Amino acid sequence: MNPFIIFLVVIIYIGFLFYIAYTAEKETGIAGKFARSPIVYSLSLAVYCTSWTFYGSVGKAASSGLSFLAVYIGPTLMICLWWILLRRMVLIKDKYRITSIADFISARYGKSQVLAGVVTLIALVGNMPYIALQMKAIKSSFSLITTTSGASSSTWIIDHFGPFIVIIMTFFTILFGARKLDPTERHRGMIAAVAMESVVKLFAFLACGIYVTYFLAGGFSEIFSPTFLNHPGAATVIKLGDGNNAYVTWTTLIILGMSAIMFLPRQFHVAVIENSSPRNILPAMWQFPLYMVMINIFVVPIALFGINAGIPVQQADTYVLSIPISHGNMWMALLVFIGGFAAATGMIMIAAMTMSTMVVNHLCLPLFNILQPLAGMRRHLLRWHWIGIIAILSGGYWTETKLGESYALVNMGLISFAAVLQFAPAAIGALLWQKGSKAGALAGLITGFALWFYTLLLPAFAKSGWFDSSFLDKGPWGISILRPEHLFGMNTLPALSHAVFWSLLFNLGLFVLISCLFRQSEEEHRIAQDFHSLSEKAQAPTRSLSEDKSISIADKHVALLEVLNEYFPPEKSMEILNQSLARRSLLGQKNISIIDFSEYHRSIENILAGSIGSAMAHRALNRDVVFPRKEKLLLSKAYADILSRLNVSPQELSEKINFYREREELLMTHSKELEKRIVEKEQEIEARTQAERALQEAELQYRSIFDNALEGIFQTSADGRLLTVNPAMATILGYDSPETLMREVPDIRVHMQTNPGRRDTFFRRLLTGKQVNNFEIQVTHANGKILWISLNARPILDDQGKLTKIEGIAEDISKRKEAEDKLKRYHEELEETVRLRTAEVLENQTFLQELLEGIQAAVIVVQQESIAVMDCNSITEQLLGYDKKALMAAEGSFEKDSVLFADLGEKSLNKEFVVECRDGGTIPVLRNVLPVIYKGVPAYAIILFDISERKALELQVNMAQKLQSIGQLAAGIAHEINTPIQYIGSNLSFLSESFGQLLEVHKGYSELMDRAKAGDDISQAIEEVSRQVETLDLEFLQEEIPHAVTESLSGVDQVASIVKAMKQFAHPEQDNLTTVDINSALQQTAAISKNEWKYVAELQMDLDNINPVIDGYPGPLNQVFLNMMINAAHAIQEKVGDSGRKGHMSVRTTSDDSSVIISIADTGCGIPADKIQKIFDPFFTTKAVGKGTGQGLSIAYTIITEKHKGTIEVESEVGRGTTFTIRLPLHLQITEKK
Amino acid sequence: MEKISNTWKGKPAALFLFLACFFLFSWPLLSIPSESGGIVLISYLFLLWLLVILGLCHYCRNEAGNLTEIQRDEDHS
Repeated sequence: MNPFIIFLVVIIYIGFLFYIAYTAEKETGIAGKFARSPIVYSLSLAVYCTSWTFYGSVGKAASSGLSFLAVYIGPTLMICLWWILLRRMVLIKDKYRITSIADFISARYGKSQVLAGVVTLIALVGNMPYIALQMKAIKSSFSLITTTSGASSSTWIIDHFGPFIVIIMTFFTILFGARKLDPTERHRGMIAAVAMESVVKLFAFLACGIYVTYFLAGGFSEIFSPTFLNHPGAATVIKLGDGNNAYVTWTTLIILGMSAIMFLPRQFHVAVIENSSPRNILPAMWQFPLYMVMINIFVVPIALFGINAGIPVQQADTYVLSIPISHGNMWMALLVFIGGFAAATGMIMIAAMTMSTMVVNHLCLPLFNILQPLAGMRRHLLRWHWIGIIAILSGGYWTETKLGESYALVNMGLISFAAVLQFAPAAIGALLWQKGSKAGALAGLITGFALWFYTLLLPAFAKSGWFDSSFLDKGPWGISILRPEHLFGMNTLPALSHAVFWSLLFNLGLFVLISCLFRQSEEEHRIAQDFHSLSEKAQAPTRSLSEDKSISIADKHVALLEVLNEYFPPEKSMEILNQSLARRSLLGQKNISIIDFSEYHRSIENILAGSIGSAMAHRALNRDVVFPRKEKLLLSKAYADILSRLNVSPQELSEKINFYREREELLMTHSKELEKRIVEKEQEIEARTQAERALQEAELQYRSIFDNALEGIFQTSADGRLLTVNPAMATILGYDSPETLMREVPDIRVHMQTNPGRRDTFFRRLLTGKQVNNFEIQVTHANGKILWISLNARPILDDQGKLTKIEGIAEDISKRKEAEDKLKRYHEELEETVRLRTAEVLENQTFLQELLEGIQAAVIVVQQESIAVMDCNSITEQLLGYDKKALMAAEGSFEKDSVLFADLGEKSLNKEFVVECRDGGTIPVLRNVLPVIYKGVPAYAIILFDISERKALELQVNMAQKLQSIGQLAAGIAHEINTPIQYIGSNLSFLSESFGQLLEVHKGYSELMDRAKAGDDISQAIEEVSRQVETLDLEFLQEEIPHAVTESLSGVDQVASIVKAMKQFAHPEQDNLTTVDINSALQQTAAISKNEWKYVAELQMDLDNINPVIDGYPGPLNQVFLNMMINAAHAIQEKVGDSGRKGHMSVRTTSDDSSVIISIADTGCGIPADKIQKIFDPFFTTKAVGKGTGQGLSIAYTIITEKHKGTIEVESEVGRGTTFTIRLPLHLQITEKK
Repeated sequence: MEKISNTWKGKPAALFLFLACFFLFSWPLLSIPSESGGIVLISYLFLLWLLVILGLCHYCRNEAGNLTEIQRDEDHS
């Protein structure tokens, strides 16, 4: 058959075993039920039937006849005594926590380590080759079933099948047999698997037997027909054995079988150690022998068929497998192979587990105790168990490869049985003989083992050809009585019986002899008694007189009621009876024992004694009808029976009673002390419970923290294997749960393989015992992405400073790292930007510096808080006359209260100031203030423009504008002056003419007077004078001359006033700050401008009576008023045109506490709304070209708002007129004066 | 030896079965079917073996019935 198929089937079968063992341990599913079934115990005992049974029985039958059955009948005989012996062993096992046959023997004989070591050594020597034999069976059967297929290409599988099986069995044994340290704990999984293997091998063998017997041979009748039996080789099969020694060999095999079923280490393990309840022994006592019958029932038919089929008897061991193969039934062959495989592996695994326990506990541990340097190894017992299993299985395989087909290995089955037989005297003696001592057991064991070695194993080695076998015939050094197979000249017994005889004789003999010669130690004696008491406990009680329920309660009730009714009413009597029955727990029973009746009787007697006295009660109730003599004798016998069962005489009983009374007193005292202790213990327990509760709460809290922490928490072994992780750790690494993480990738190193160097650094640091903090490393996420985590880990060291575990916290810093990268990139970009900006700033700075130096303005930077000068440009030095250092030191007159620093609170533009220079001179400046940050300090940049030239120009412009205004007024003024001049001239001419006429008249009167005086004729003169007077029209003159004079004077005054107004309007002193009479100024302006408005408008002056006077500049104010009035006149003229109609102008003044309000209104054409915002702009005019320059209102605005800190407002409506309202403060601030 | 005998007290059936089997499966009784050999010997061995198993089965059932409650409790514990 193709090795691949076989291999695959083996893998499936092993997987099936794993499943059975696993589910049995978990107690789930069908396997769980199977494991709990009592039959598992019986089936597990069938580990006795190894491949030696499966294959070897047929071989043995073919070569030696029916003697092979003795190996199975012997155990059946021994099983008859199991309820006595095995049950005791199980009880002893439970009490002493026995772990193996070595432990059992050692425990009985003073817990001797030497004895346990010897037993272990014997078991090891006897069993290792037996394990090798099983491996040989596996390999041979595999080789047989595969080579017949001719699939030579699969030799690799054939060659490596053995090691593969060893590895699998090692793994299985460790997993299900040595996963925990307590070897006394039952291995449900392992036992369930072994039981299942027993089922498989039985099924396989029965299937093969039925196939051979019924399908190939035609049934039992055919097999045992002469056709088959007449074959020459068949005669051997149906006989008990050869020659005279047949019965001896048979008996020897019976003895060996009896011993093996009890004391083979693996049998002891499954029968005793794995026994969960002594009750399981009872069904096993018939089930297991039945199993052995079934597995042997087809041995003879198969052997007979194989011989008749012509297969050589030398190959009879393979009949079971080779017959199906030779008949082409490969599936049957495969089933047989699996059966044989199951038979071998079951034995190997149990034997390895048991032997490992024995070797570690009884050889290694004592060695560790003796050799101090190895004392530390005791802490690694579990690992030593594993090493033991590996060593035993590897050793078995090695033995198989080395010994192969040797005589020693082929016969190792019975040789092993003979070795185990050496345990029998000591082990059975442990159960049955209290006087058996350690010395006796040790002497018997060592001697028996030595004789076994000398008479059986050594000859087997010699026959295998490993050394010269001549000593077998001649004896060592030619001493014939020492021939190993004929010791002391015994020539009658076959080799096996010979060895069994001598080894058992010396073993048993020395055990008894030495035990009798040497007294037991106290410890041994105590344990022996304990073993024996357990023995008595193990006895199932037989029915005795004390338990024989032969007394009928109904009969006794009749008799007792009869007596009691003599003293009580019937109801009371019945109550007493029932009460007594209840007290004795006998209610409901029909028959009771004599002992129970005696106590029931005594109870009633006590009740009756309370009423009639004890003597009367005794007499009444001891009547023959109630308690007949026969029953009293029965009672005596029952007590005697109890005494005899106690195995004491009455004297001894009395002594014992006294002893027990004293003991009771002592126990009472002790019990009181114990009660006290119990109270203390209870208090202690309470305290511990509270502490435990607190601990649990703390644990819950820590568990909560552990489970809910955002950081990953982990614990690993020193090599990085994950031991514990919290959910956060699993989440960080991309797994659903900690279990998934630990199952799928249990090694933290795997996660850290992205950067092996950094990973090694991490572990290297921990190995040196140092903590690792904030160790950033890349790890691999479950989805393959690379993460950054930060690790904080600490090493956990053992006493020797060796790293045992690693605990740590992991934080996912991928986002932070990403942010850092971004920040880094941003920082680099920023640096680049800064570099560029710096260059740009430097460039700008240079540019600004050059600009500052090049600009024709002083720039001063002052701190906002302290107004200290921080910097200034060279123009400042030139402008103010201070050098930079002086300015920055605020030296000289350049102080903080300088006008320059007034109103620095906010940005201000184009404010004009007059500043004082260092040389005492003043300069008009235009100041701009800008809040800035200079050198990181809040500051003001004060920019001063020297406006001296502009001011001069402005003055010139003002003067020009004033002159223009005056020029405009000149014609009017001339006209105004001309008119009075004209009529002054006319009047003067009139007066001159009148004066001449009057002088002529005066002359006539003078001549008349002279003539009169002279006496001359005066008539003529009078006539002349009269004619002159008449000519003169003196009355007219008298009327007109005064009028002319008055009118002339008025004209002179008018001219004088115009001239005076002009003089005041244009006088330079008018530009200085002084007090200004607003009403007067308005009147003068109206007078000057009269010629402009008198033809087009009527002027109404409505001036404040208070006659407001303000601080101001008269000249500029007059200019403002003049502009307003001329503009008003022009507006009216534009409206009225040449219609001859006149408009209306009104000038009105009012005042309050702080200011004077001047209103100049006209009813002119008005200003369009879209132009009203621009009327104060320089060079803006609505007048025709050549009529206005656009400077008038601009200058007026400047004069009012800047020079006088007043306001000027305008309201206008097209076609209806315009009103200018000027508000001037009464007083200007003193600073303004500077 | 008295102690040993105590061990067997109450166990006559088991002891009897063991001794009977031992004799039945040993010389000289075994020599009777062995002389005939063949099917007789095989039948003797297997039938006797099955009878022993039947005897054991009967014995075990009795013993199971004889277990006291205390022993049962002990066993269960």
